[in-house]
Amino acid sequence: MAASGLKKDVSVTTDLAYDAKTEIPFKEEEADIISPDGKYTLTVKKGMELNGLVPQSFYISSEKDSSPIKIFEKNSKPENMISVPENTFSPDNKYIFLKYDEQGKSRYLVLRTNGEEIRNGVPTVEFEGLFSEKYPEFVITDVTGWGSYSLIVINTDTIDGKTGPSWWFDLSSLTFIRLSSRFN
Amino acid sequence: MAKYRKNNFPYLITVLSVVLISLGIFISKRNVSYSKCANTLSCEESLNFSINNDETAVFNGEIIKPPEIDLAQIIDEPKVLGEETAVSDKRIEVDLTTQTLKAYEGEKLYMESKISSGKMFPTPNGEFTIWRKIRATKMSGGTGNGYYYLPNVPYVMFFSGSKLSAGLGFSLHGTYWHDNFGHPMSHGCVNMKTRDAKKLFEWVDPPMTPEQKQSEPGETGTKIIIYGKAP
Repeated sequence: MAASGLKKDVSVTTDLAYDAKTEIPFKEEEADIISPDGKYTLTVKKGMELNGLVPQSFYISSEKDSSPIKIFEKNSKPENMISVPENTFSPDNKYIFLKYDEQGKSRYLVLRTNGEEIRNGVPTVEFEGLFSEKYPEFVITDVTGWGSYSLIVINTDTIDGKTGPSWWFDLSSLTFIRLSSRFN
Repeated sequence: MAKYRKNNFPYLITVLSVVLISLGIFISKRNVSYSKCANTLSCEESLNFSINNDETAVFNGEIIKPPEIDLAQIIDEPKVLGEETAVSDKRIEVDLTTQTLKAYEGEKLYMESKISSGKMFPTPNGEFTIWRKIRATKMSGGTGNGYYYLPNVPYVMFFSGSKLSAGLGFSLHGTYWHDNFGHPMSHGCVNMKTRDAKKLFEWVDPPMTPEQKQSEPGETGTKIIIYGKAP
């Protein structure tokens, strides 16, 4: 699973290697990412490139409902394809976040795993744009995972390159909370 | 001369006291590396088996619903007391620098996973053994924004050593309240993804008693080596 990215049973000893590989845009047809509790699976399918764009589709299946539901799809240039960060699942498995590059920046997209909108009329949230608009004096350097059920951990630097603070992105209010300690 | 001796008596007493206190602190630091409980509000309670499906949890200021645990559905823990007699060659290595756990049987790698070690308080370095494992317990501690209350902490494997008392409650365990593995997050314990903790829990010694899904206290279990420095 780790080496090929093809859909196979999870191998015990290569589990970590697989997670690490998910940071790289997928080069194979299909890959599975299992939630930390083992109850949900995110399946990413990549289609063939057409007119310079590569289609990617994202599906969720669970222990209770093994038939996958499509939660998102996007056509991207090969250099801008979506990758799945290592700690993509929220602890309660209600959300995932994804990463892609656009105009020299890393963007981060949050989706519900049941396919519904984040809020009425808001299907997904891209929070790098929200952050840079609100706090132009900082740049996001890394998004490491979930600090709780609706708190995403963000690390930043200042725009002049000094180490900046960590933040929560609070999905319940779509706001950012500056933290006193940094998550390394 | 007699006056001189009398005037310096309080000074000598003070110096002697400082020396004795310093000596005491030095000796205690050499012999007891950790005297702080891993979960300050529930140190004793967290050492015991408990399932609290009706309670809510608190972590990082959020009130959250812990996953329910149904013991009736637990049918797959394969190793119970008395089933295994062979001398174990198992060991667990936790690298705090890379936030990675590896479990070996002899030279064969059994599993490898990302973990979250202590952020608020350090996870201790050294060689330890698992002295007890329990299917679930409750952990709480911290104050203010750092307060946490976590019922149904799954797959708990307590460890201790010559410089780490069993009663301090340090453990490896599953984690339902965050998904930030590979980065320090805990109050001293080793947080694992629940699916990884389950796999390790079913593999490590000591074995469990079948009726309570926990091992007998005090049995000598699998060795754990913790090294490195958390980022």
